[in-house]
Order: sequence, then C-alpha cells, then structure tokens
Amino acid sequence: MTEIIKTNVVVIGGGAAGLRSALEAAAQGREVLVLSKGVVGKSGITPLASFGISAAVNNDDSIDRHLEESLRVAQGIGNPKLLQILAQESPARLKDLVAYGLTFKMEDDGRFYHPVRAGKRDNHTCCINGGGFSLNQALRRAAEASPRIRILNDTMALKIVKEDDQVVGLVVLDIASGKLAAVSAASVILATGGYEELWHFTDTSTDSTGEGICLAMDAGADLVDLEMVLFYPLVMIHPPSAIGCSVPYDLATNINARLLDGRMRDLSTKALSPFDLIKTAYRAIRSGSATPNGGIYFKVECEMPETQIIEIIKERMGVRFTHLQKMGISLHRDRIEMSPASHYCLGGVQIDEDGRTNIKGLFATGEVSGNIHGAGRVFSNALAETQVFGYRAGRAVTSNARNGDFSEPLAKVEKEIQEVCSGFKSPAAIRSDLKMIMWTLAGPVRHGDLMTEALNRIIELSHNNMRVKRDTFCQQLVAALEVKAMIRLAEAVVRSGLERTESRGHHFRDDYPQMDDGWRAHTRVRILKDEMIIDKIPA
Amino acid sequence: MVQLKIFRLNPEKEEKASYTTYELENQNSLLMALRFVREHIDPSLAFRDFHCAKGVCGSCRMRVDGKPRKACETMLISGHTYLIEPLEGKQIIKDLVIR
Repeated sequence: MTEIIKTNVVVIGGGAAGLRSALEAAAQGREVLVLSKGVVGKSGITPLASFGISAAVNNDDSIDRHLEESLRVAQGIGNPKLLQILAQESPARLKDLVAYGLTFKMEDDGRFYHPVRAGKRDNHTCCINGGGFSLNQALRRAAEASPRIRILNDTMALKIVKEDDQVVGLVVLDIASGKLAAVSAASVILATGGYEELWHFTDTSTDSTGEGICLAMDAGADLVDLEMVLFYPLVMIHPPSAIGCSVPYDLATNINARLLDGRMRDLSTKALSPFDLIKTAYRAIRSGSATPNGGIYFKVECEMPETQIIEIIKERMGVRFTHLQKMGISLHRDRIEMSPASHYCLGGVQIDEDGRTNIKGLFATGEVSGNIHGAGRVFSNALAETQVFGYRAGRAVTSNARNGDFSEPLAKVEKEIQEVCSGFKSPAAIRSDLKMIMWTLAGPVRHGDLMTEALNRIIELSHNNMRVKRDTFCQQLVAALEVKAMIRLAEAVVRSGLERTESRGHHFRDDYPQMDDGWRAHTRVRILKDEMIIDKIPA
Repeated sequence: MVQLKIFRLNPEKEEKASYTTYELENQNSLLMALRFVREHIDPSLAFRDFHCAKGVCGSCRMRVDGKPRKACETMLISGHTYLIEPLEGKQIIKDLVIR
C-alpha cells in the first residue's frame, strides 16, 4: 500500500523562495509540507548565491530608482507590475529576514551598507553576512521552529496530479527507500529554481536540473522566455576542485588580469561590458583556440605589491578565496582556465503578482518563475525575488483540499520509471552529451543553424533509456529521471531560442544580431494534446 | 593513481559493513574522485555530492583516514591509499550517506 501524506499546501524546493512561501503559508494557518531533493540548506541553488539582496531600505534610497534600473536591464520584456512589487516590497521582506535572525553588513550609523560596483555606489543592494548559505540556514531554522511546517529531505516530486483542472497533489519519490508516495494537497507551490545544469559549464549546483519546470509543463502551465539564460563571464573550469567557482568580472580590471586564448593571444577585453566579455570569450573558445579544458586563461600581470593584490582578491572573492587557498590555487600567480558559465535562468513558469499560474492550485515562485526580469536581471534582484514573491505565493494559497484518487497517477509514474530504466546507457554519459550539445550549439552566442542541429541531436538523445538499478538511496534513479527531464527541457529551450528571431539581453543570435521591436514579446511553451507548442505572446 | 578504500553498507539488505577498494587516476579532490568512481567504476556507490565549489555547504563531510573532512577540500596525493567512511554517530542511509 503506497503511503498518502495529507497536507494543505506542499512546497517543492527548500531554497529561499520555497521556505519563505512555506513560512507565510504557515503564518496564514496552513499545514505545510516542504519537499527537497537534497538536504534543505545544503542543496539547491540558494546556498551558492552571493551576498547581494536588493531592497531600497535606507531613508535616502529610492524605490523608483530601483524600479527604473530593473526595467532598463529587462530590455523591454520585464513585467512592470511585478518589478514594481519587487522594488516596493523588498524593504519589508528584508526586515522579515532580520527578524529571522539574518545579519547584514551595516554602516556605523545603522543604515544598511550598499557596495560600490563598477565605480558607482549602488543604491539598493544590501549585503547578507554569509551570503546565500546563511540566508538558507536562517530560513531553515525558522521553518523548523514552526509547528505547521514539516520538511522532507531526499524527496523528489515526479508528477503534479490534477482532477477537473484543479491540483489535488503530487506523486513523489522517497529517495532513501526508493519507493513512490502520494501527497494530497489543495495547493502546490513550485520553488525548484533554474536549469543551469543543462550547460557544460555552470557556476550553480549539480542539482539545478530543471525537472520542476517539466512538472509544471506537464500539468499544463505556460512557460515563457526559456531561451533567456544569464551567463556569468568568468567561472573557473580547472582544476577539478575549483570547477564552478565564479570570479567577479570587474576583479580582472582591478588587479590588471589579462584574458588569453589557448594560443596565448590577448583577447583585449579591458573596456568590454560583461556581456561583450562573454561573447568575446565564447567566440574564442568556439573558434578552436580554447585552452586544454575548453576555456580561456586568466593571468594577473599587475605591478601592485603582492600583498595588496591578495587583499583585493580576498575582499572580492569572500569564502571562495579561503576555499581556493586550501586547494593551493592562487588567482594572482597561476594561469587559470576560466569560461563563461550558466548562472541564472530568467525564463520559466508564467505567474501573476501572487505566484499563481494558469493552473488552479499551482503556484510558482523564485527562479522557477519566468516573466519577472525579462531579458536581463539586476544584480541582487534574484534573492529579493525569492522573498517578495515567496511571501506573496504563501499568502495567496488556499487549503480546501479534496481527496484525490492517486492510484492511476502512481501506476503511470511507476510505468514511466520502468521504461526510463529499461535501457543500456548510463545517465551520466547521456547527461554529459546533452550538456556539451547545449554548450556548443545553444550557448551564450547562438545561430539558427546551430540551434537546429542542437534540436536534432537532443531528439536523438531522447530515444535513449538508461541502465539503472533501483536501490536504497537511489541516486542512479534520480540521475536518470533528471536526465529525462533535462532532455525535454533542452528541447523547449532550444525551440524557444529558434522562435525568437532577434537579439535581446541574454539571448544573442549571430544570424539576428539586432533587437526587433516586433519581439517586445514573450516566447511561450506549453503542452497541448501531448505536443509541445511554441508561440509568441505579448509581454 | 590513488586508492580509495570505501565503507559500504546498505542497511536494508546487510547487517555488516564491508569495504571496497577502488584504484583510479588522481582526480585532484576526493569529491571529484568519488564522482569518478560512481560514473565510471561503480554506479552503486552512494555519497552526497551537491557541489558548492566554496567549501561552505558541508554536504560532502565524511571521515578520511578516521578524521572528519569535507571531500571537496580534501586534496589527494598520488600513490596514497585513503580510508573513506561516513561521519560517526548518525544513522546511515547507505554507504557514505547519513541522515
């Protein structure tokens, strides 16, 4: 007999957005179950987030300026209403975080400290002591202290179950036992983060595989702007112990670092904007002059005294500096291989101002949502988004659960699992192929011909099933299910990229290098009669 | 080359733990070596491999030659053999994974 867990609200994801929504739903008197694929606070993308969270919180800060900046970076397809809410409500949510015990870098006079970036004093970025990791831990402690919140680690959501177009719960996998279970709930809040792991190089975690977006897609939710992926310019790709460690791009200028291709040719990147830096580096990598591990070199040639250089690196790199030091890696002495890498997914599930999707009872919040930031995101708006829209989704959920019948969905998922596990290839091999296809054919600089090739190769990969032994703590099965979802999502991302025949923000196409006013619109992906349909809808 | 002598236990099926020794090219850090084992030698090996690349999250903590260490910050030296076991005093889910 399969276990059926009953609750009012189920939150998928234990990062900053998921936990904030759980806390607010609990404050409204709901019983909340939080599911996490790993251990809450030690998995997902939040623990890797940097220190910045935007909130025009000081008396002399300006909410209008924060909004203006967000709209400018969104390049015409950000959602003005959602960005306004973000700017307006982030100060109150920041104060909630203080109440949860989180501390921030402060000025001597008690105001929140704002950092200087690219020579300018920022007017809305606040600095969390301990960054995303501390944020996730503070929210975890608050959630664990709530009698209405129950956290289930090592649990993967596999299917959103609906009856009469209303969400009634989930089918989940208990990773520790390898068994399926059902969750009966009136509302599902999706807070599963992004899909950065689709690309060969990423600075996020290995569990950012995006199957949450596939759950929403299969439940009938509209997905928008999936092609909009923010790549970070400089991320270490070698040695293995430093893979994924990002280096602030303006640090290169501060300490006079040269960027060289694999043949030691200078990429003359001094005056380049971060976005042009990404394009220049990616072009060098793709033109056959990459370093041995497929990147470019970062080499400091500075006349400053060594102690001063180390001080600058230490201040900018924070905890990453300590890690590199322990690994015996020196940013200022060694020639280090780096590359642009996927960093944040701007696209995702379309939501309204309370995180509602077009499916009754299904909410989405945080990075998994798709129509807030448009074609580009302001630094530190990501963490603010988790708090503002997590809170709003938690407040908006309803709890009139009906008793769904889970026997058919459970049998269907069981059958799908048996099919996925009926092949010969290892999940790791397929995953690695897919990541390389996405990186080389649908990376930071794109072209219609290459994306078409990517699409064909992704569809070829989709015919593979995998060889998996179902066992206790079934990481292999999790890996196989992730890969299956990644392949479907990759198809949706590439088809969205082909649909958008222009360049805007983080979607850059060599065959359509100009921005097109006709594309002041979203690409939309949805499943209609078992078929993936892509179209264009007004922004 | 390095050798990893790894603690193995599936509490659902076995009462007593055993040790399996793997020999592989040095992968720089212990975390990367464990990933190599799982991807290329023995897919049944269980460990938590969320990778923060900062040594911050602590999800890869385990005992290396008896001492608690983070796998991501444990550099391996070629020619050595390492004894890899789960942290003590916690319920073992499987192999190096604890609750």
